[in-house]
Amino acid sequence: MQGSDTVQTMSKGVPRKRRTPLWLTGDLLSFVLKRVLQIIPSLMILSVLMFAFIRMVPGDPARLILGPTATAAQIEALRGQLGLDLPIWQQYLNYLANIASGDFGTSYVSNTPVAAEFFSRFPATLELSIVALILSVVVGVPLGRWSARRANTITDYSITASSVFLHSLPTFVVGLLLQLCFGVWLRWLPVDGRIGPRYRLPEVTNFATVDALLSLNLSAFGSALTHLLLPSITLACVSAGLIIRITRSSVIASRRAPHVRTARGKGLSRSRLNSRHIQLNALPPIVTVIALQIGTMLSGAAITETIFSWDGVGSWVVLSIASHDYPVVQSTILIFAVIFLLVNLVADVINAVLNPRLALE
Amino acid sequence: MTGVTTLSQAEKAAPSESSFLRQAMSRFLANTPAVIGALLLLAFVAAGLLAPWIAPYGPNEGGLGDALLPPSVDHLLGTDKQGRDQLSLILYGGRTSLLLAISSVTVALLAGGVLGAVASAFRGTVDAVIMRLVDVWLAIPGMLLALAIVALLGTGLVQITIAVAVTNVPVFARLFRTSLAEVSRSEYIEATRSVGASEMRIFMRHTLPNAVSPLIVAALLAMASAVVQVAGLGFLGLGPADRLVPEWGTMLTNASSYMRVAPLLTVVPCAAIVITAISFNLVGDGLQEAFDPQSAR
Repeated sequence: MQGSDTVQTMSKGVPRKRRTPLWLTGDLLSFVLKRVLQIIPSLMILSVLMFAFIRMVPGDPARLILGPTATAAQIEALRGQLGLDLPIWQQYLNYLANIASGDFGTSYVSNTPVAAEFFSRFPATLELSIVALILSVVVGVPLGRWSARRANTITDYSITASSVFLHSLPTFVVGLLLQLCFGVWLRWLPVDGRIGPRYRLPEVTNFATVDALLSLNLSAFGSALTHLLLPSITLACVSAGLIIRITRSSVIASRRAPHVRTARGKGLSRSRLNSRHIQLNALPPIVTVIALQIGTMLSGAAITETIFSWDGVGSWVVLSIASHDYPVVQSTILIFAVIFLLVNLVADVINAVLNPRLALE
Repeated sequence: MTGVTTLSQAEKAAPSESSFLRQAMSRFLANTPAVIGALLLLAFVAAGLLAPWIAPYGPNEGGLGDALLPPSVDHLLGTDKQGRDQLSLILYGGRTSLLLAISSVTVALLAGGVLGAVASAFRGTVDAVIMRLVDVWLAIPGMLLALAIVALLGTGLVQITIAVAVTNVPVFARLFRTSLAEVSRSEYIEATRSVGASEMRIFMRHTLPNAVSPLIVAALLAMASAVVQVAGLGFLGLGPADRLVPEWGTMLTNASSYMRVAPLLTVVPCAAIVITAISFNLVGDGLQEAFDPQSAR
C-alpha cells in the first residue's frame, strides 16, 4: 500500500490516489477509545496507591488536624466526621467519592481545602512549565535535526556532547549557577518571585503574564517576562538535552529506513524525500519524548520553584513536606500523575494521526 | 561424523561469551569519552575511599573563626560558614553521595529485575497487572515520589536509598521484561531448544546473559540520575539526618545565601555533582555502544 502510493507520486501523468484520512475510517476513533479505556485501570491503581500512602502516614489524622491541645472527645468526634472508624474498604470508597466531587481533603497546616489552594497555585507552575517546554522544544528539535543532517561531523559531535552535558545537569545546579551569573554578578535579571514587588495584578487567570496583558500594563508584563526567564531556562535544560538526543537518533533511523532508500533510488527530490518521508516518520518518538517531559517539568518544579521563590505548586509541596502536611503532598502527586497519564494519551493520539500504522498495530 | 551433535558442541558453534566480552571491551576502550568518564569515576571512588588519608582536614573540623575563608594554601577551596574545609567536605561528601547512588540503583535493579522477570515468565493476567502498575509508577513525577517517601520514612541513609530506588524500579522492570521477551524470541534460543537443552539451562546460559546487557547500561544511566536525585533531596534539606555526615547536595542548601561572599560554596559541590553525573552517562553510553554497535551509528 505504502509502495503503490510512492509509485503514483513518482509518475506524474497518473492521478495520485489519495488515501482516506485516518479519522474518516473509524480506526482512529476505535484507537482513541481503546486508549481511554486503558487509562481507567491505571487510574484505579493510582487511587489505591495514593489511598495506601495516606494510610501509611504515622499518627492519627484527626490528632494531626486538631493539634496537640485537642481533647480525646474532640478527636473522637472528628474521627467520626472523617469516617476514620469505618471499615477500610468503605474508607477507600469514600475517598474515591470525595475525589470525584473535587474534594482532595483538608490541609493539616492551614485547615483549608487542598483543592482550592492547589488550583490557585497551579497557574504559576503551569505558566513556568509551558514556557520551559516551549524553550526546550524550540531549542532541542532544530538542534537534533541539524546534528542528524551533519551526522558524524564536528558539528554533530559538539551538539551531541552538549546534549549529554545538558541532560546531566541537575536542575538545582542550573538554577543556582544562573542565579549566581545573572542575578549576583551581572545583575541583569531578577532571581526571585513572579513579578516585581511594585506591581499589583488583578487575579483573573493567575498567569502573571496573561493578567498583565489583560490589565494592559506593559511594564508589568515586561517584569513578569524577565522573572520567568531564569526559572524557565533552568527547567528547560534537562529536557532540551534529551529532546536533542531523541530527535537526532530518530531522524537518523528514519533516514536509514528501507522505504527511504527506495524512494531515493527512484529519484525523488531531496526536499520532498526529507519532508514527506524522513521528517514525518521521525516524528512519533519526538512527540513521545516531548510528552514525557511534562513529567520532568512537574518533577523539576519542586526544586526550580524553591530556588526562585516561585509561588507555585512545587514550592508548596516542598514546604508541605517540611511541615508533614500529607494531604497536600498526596493530592499533588495524584493530580500530577493524572496530568502525566492524560498528556501521554494525547501524545499517543497525535502519533496515531501522524503515523496511522501505529494505531492499527 | 556421528551425526549427533552434543549440546556443548552446539553451544561452542555459536560465538563464545568471552570473545563477545573481549570485543565489547575493545570497543569500549576505543571510545574516548567513555574512557574519560570511567577514569573520572575511578578517581572519585578512590578519592572517597581514601578520604581519611588524603583529605587535609576531618569533615567536621573547623571553628567559626575560620568561617567563609577564601581559597588559600591552607584551604585550597576555602571554608564554609562553619569553618569546615571545603575540599575535605567534597572528598568525604563523595563517599555518601556515591554510596547512596550505587546502593539505591542496586536495590532498584534487583527489585525491578525480579518484577520484570515475573511479568515475562507468567504472561497473561500477572503480566498485565504488573505492567499496568509500572505504567502508573512511571507517571508519578520521580522527584515528588522520592520527596514523599523521605517525608514518610525519614532521612536516614537507608530511607534515602529506598526513596531513590523506588523511583527507578519501574524503569528496570519494563526494560528487563522487554529484553527477556526479545531474547527468548530469537533464533539461537530456538536452536538451543531444538538440540534438547532444558528450559532451565536455556534461561541461565543463554537468555539471562543476553538480556542483562541493556540492564547494565540502564543501571549506569540510572546512577547518573540517582546522584542528581540524592543531591536534590539534600539540597531541599532532606539529606542524611546525621548532620555530621557530609553530602554534596546538603552542602548546597545554604550556599545561595552566601553566593555574594563565597560563590565557591555553590560552584564546587555543583561541579562535583555534574562531573559525576556526566561520567556515569558517558560510561553508560560507551557500554551501550560496546554491547550493541548497531545502536551507535
